[in-house]
Amino acid sequence: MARRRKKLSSRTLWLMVHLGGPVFPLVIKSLIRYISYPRLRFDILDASDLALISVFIWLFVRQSLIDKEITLVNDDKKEELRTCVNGCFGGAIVFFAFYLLMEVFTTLVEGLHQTNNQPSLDITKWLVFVSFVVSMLVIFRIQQSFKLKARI
Amino acid sequence: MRKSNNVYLGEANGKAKTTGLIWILIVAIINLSGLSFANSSSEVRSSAAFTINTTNISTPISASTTTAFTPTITRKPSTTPTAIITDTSKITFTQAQTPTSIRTSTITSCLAKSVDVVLVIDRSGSMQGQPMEEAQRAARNFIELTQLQSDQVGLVSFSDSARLDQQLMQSESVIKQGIDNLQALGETNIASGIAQAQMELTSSRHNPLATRVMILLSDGRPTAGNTLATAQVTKQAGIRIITIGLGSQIDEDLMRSIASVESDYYPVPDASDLVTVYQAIARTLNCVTPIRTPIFTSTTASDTPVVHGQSVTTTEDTEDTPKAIIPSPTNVPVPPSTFSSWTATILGILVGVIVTFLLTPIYQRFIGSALPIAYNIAVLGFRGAGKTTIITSLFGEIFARKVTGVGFEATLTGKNTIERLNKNLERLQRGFSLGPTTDQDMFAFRTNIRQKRFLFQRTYKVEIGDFDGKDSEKYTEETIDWLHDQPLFKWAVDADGLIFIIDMGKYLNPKGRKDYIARMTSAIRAAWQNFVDSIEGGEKAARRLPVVLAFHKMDLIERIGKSKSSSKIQTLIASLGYGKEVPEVIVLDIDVINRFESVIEADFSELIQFLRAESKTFTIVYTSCFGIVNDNRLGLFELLKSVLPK
Repeated sequence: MARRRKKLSSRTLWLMVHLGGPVFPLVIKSLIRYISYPRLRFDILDASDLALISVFIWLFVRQSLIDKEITLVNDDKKEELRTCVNGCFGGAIVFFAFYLLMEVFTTLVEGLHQTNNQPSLDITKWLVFVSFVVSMLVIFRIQQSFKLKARI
Repeated sequence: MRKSNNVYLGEANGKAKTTGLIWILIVAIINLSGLSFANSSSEVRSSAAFTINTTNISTPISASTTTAFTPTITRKPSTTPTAIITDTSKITFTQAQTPTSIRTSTITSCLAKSVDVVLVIDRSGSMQGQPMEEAQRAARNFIELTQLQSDQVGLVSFSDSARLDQQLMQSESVIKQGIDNLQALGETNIASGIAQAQMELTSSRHNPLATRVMILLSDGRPTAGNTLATAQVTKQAGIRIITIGLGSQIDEDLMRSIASVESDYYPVPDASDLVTVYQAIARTLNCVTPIRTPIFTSTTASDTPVVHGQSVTTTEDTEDTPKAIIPSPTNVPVPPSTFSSWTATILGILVGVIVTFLLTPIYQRFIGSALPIAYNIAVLGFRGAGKTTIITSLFGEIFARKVTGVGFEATLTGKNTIERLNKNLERLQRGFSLGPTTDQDMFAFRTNIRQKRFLFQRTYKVEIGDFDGKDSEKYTEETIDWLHDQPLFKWAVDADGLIFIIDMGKYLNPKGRKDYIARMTSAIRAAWQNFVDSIEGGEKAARRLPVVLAFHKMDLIERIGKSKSSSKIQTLIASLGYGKEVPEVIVLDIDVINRFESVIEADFSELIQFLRAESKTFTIVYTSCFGIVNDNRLGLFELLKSVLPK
């Protein structure tokens, strides 16, 4: 019988699909912003977009955990997986809340000229940035903990 | 009883560094964007001392009308005419009546800092005619004086409402065009002008490394909007507001309150003086301390306030006779850091390293413990080789706390693992074998292993897979596609460590010894080749995995003793169980075991050479679940240690 090789799952592919993919549009947007105004600064990353993208990332990771095939019987592992699935949903909710806050504050400050909300907007932006970095670290660890892999 | 062949270089070492690098990267980005050391707010550092060398002192300028500020020199130089101003809150604004000469003063230090300036110009109806023309002329002149290589200028105008005429930019011609297009008409809504300028200064166009300044020019009283509240918010946002009150209709108190500090208010009764005032402001914007003097004096009529700035009194002077007039040094934003960008970056990296060292244990404590890194170990061996027994005994050792204090700590986790292990251990203690594992019994035994290194610790979630032995036998099959569907194969190609079990019971039987050696050599080689063929990363990744060749049931060597009769040995092995019953636990003579090691290794030399060439971390371990050496079951701890991440 001829040897047919199946393409196996890959950790790198998982990271690309679940993190790289969603972040890609934001990278493009930031790049365009940078080209139009070549100064390196945090504002080239749109915090509002970042929050929304984080929502998707958490949902994608959640779905990946749900799809995770457990080869060997062990109910403890299934329970652990379920807890993590709920945690991911929680992460998505938190970032959705950030997204709503960003939109509200941006509308108040830029649309309605209520500049007294500027500090709140700035704080929310920073919260989004910091939470995004923490999220990335947690998601990396989730991948390592459950050996999540993507298949083509 | 373990022979380590190579130094294992596991992946574990790199992970703490990765976390560190992420932090360093974050801190470096923060530094580059000026958010860590460069506070862009218009902070006034009143304690910042600067030195003024005065020269060419001639006839003092009389100051008959002192209006806004009173200069106070708190530290007077002793011999040289040098003034060090430390308290800038009382510097005098002077109206020179009959200037007779100019005194030249030189500021010795001036740290340039880029500035984002928005000119906020009143274009209400009252500005029609000469005021607007002068304002335009002054604004154009102001732009020429700014350093547009590093600075940015924007233009906002207001009447009934505000509009952004030019966003922050570095194009002189474009901004001038915006200035030329201003037309006076309508009411005076100063608040809207301030709000519009603030938006521009907080927009993405703002350079975070630059100081934010708005220069507000108005000639009337506001007719709409809450001017003071808006200005307050703007100032709280770290934007410096400089106000210029043109003409006599101006609400001076309001303009003074709008300004960041009192000295940032410039009353200009005559529009023709606007150019001079804008020039004075332009010269101070980029400096921590004012730039070179003289700035300007006036030659206009005595009752015209033409000079704006501070008079500075030196040691030889009295406070009544200000001698020199320099532009307002007070309230000029002081760069928050006097470090160069390189120093700041290096410091940032150092801070990043320190933060990494501080935060990594916290990260590992919370996230690391909650989400341990998965580490799977596949145990491969034929039916009856004792895979389940060895796994159970291994966990029994962990139960008995015999694998602590040696670089890692192992703790059992999971209700299912604990229940199953206790059941198995009870069965072994009662003398019954565990029997062959079936498809229904396949199970992942789990334990948490915590490794500590200096301040850091890493928790692994170790899973040891227990499979039906016939699955292992299928590795020798040629039909690899079929093998891919096996749970064992799927699990094993994802494993982080491999244990191959060789059954000493079969090896010691003289009748089938040769066949067994050949079969095991072939089977394990095929298993490894299949593994390398399928593992992600191929041969390179496979070479890094810890591989252990475990010669199991070593207690049989001692039990058989010196018996050479083939039939006798067969009978003995059969009677010793590994079928329905297990033998009693005995204390092993380590010398007997050692003597046999060389014989075993010679018999399996082909396999050993192959694995040694294939894997960087190949180890041979001699084990027994029913033979004790030094109060521990033979080789179990070494087996665990060999296969775990280093």
